[in-house]
Amino acid sequence: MKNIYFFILWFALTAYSCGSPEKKTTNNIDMESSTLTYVQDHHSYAQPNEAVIKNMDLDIRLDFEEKKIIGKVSYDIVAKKDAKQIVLDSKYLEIEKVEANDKATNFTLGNFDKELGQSLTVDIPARTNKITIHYNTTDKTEALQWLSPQQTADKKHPFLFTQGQAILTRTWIPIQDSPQIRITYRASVKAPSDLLAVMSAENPQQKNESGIYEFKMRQAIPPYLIALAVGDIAYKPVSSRTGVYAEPSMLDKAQDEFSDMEKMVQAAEGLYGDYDWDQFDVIVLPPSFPFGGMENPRLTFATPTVIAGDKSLTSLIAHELAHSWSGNLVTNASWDDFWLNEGFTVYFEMRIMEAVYGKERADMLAMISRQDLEEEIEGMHDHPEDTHLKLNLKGRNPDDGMNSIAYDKGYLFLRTLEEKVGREKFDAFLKQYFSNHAFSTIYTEKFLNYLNKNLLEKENITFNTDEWIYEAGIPDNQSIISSDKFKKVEKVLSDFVENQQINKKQTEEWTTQEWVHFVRNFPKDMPVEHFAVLDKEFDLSHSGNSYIAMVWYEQSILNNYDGNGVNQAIDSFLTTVGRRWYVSTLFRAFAKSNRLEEAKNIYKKSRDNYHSVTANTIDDILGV
Amino acid sequence: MKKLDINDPTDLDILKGQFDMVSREEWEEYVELAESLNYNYKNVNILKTAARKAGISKYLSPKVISWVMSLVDQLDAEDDDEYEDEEE
Repeated sequence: MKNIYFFILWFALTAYSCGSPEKKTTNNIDMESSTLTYVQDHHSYAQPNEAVIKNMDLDIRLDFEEKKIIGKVSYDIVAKKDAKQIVLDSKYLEIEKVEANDKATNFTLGNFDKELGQSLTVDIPARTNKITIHYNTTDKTEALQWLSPQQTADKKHPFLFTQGQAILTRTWIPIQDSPQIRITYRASVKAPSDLLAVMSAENPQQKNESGIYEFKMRQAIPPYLIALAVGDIAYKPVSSRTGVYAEPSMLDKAQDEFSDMEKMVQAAEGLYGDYDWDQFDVIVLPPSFPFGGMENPRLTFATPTVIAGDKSLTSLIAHELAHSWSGNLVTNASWDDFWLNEGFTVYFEMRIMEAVYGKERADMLAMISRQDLEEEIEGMHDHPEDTHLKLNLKGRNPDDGMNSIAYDKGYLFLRTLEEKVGREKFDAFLKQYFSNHAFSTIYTEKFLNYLNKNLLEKENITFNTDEWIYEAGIPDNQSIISSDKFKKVEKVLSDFVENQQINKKQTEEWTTQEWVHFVRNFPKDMPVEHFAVLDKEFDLSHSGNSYIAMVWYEQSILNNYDGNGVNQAIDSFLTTVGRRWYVSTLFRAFAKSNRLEEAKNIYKKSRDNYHSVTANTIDDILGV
Repeated sequence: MKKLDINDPTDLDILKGQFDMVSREEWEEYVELAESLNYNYKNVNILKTAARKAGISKYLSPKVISWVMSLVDQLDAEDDDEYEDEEE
């Protein structure tokens, strides 16, 4: 019997570690009943089947002068009886000393890899159930962004935030940094007394004089979701279980913009079951935050660029909320399976938006998603394998897979599947899926087994799942998405292109999405005179809506439009905003338009304002 | 070693992790040791159950996991004593 178990373990590990899209390699194995607990993750040195962390106790002090975190982290661990070592991930950290069961123990740091960092191997004598690592971060630490007062909204106090996804948590805490490992945590953070610290945990709602904040996260989460933000921030509730943190000048605006959060939580619960994280708060960070949002549990991190004044960009909040089920509750086991986090989340986001704001708005968002996907696939024509849902990112940075394929192709797959099986059955399936896999991890083959067993075979449905997941591009049976509102926008655009006139009344009621669709669909090589007409009428070069501004700037760059001070506006946008999607879109447009020198000059000024994940992407685009 | 509380989710997670780290072969050794030390049949039976469910803690109740892990502690201590006696 023992040999059978070893065979299953060997076979599953071999199949997984090959990472090739040789589909169904694990399809015939009932992973649920094997002894395999963790799969091989090629983005972590950890060997959790030998020894694994279970609970973290973090005790740190923040030095804003030196831009350094100093402290110690303890882990409750469980190990095999014969395990002699536990292996963690570490990158750009200085390890001072390590203890096992409170006694000094030996440790070694492995060879440095530019993507993975170093293994931190700690000797564990028999019956070790706790290790403690004394360490500090360095100026190379990639997860942290230390902002000067000038880089914040209120310009009075410094700010610090972390970004752990995908494999950056290891750059501020030595840890087993694989998404399949889940830990609970406690933390004690000493911050300057005029600042408030918050984490992806139970949070304080006001500052205290000591500057010492204690946190507890009772629900087990993967390491990439451990998050910290520290600044001159305050809290306002939206409902009994939702609220916003922001700098004082942003607080009321944020509360207004996100006033539908409770409705969203209720809509989400109505679809796929209870919200399991007790509290859903959002913190609005300074504009250099590299993402639209980051789904840190209990405390979503958000860019201020979503505050449009009319709730038109709040689909981002629906998206981050949806992650409370897909991603945070059921987590991709490795970054090769990232589509399981994001594709499900976009699908869920669309359903929340439909429930709260109606089908028309959800259709517009779906159309935009479809267009994003089209553009992404077009840009990947030299690497069609990167358009597979299941990826093989061995030897690459997991960030390479964080693109529209995971999000929008993943969404399109699920939407097409929903249309095939019917919404009622699909919803019941998803609700059961989230419930059955709550607080655990999932990988593509395990999901396919589950899908076949619990939906397709049960309902006697044939569906080309393998083509969707393991092949390039978009299969022919894709769902056809349309939007009546966008059809009207297209008519306005074609009339404008024909006669260079636009009736302002036609656009008065337009939402952000309609404007975005209008601008993105300009014909190629639209004359700059046409831009000037639109700019004169709507002053798009100075739009206060960041999304509309971004697509307008992109078109302006691609078409060499330079009227109405648009180039200065682009310069100012790129030196203020650090959201990777926006910034990379504009730098790509510069590159496509052979305006690299201009782009590099702007980048010289703006790079210091970007978080490492944005800076790394722009480095690649500009070749610097 | 701190006592783990099955009503605390973190402690329970640790207990489950400890359970999952014990291989089927090791459980069988514990069964043999318990029998040789004349543990009562209830304790031996629960160790046999653990052997059948090796690595799959989710199939056992928190109480059972806590019970078998406390037996593991006892048996490890007995084993250590025996080893020390032999050394002497």
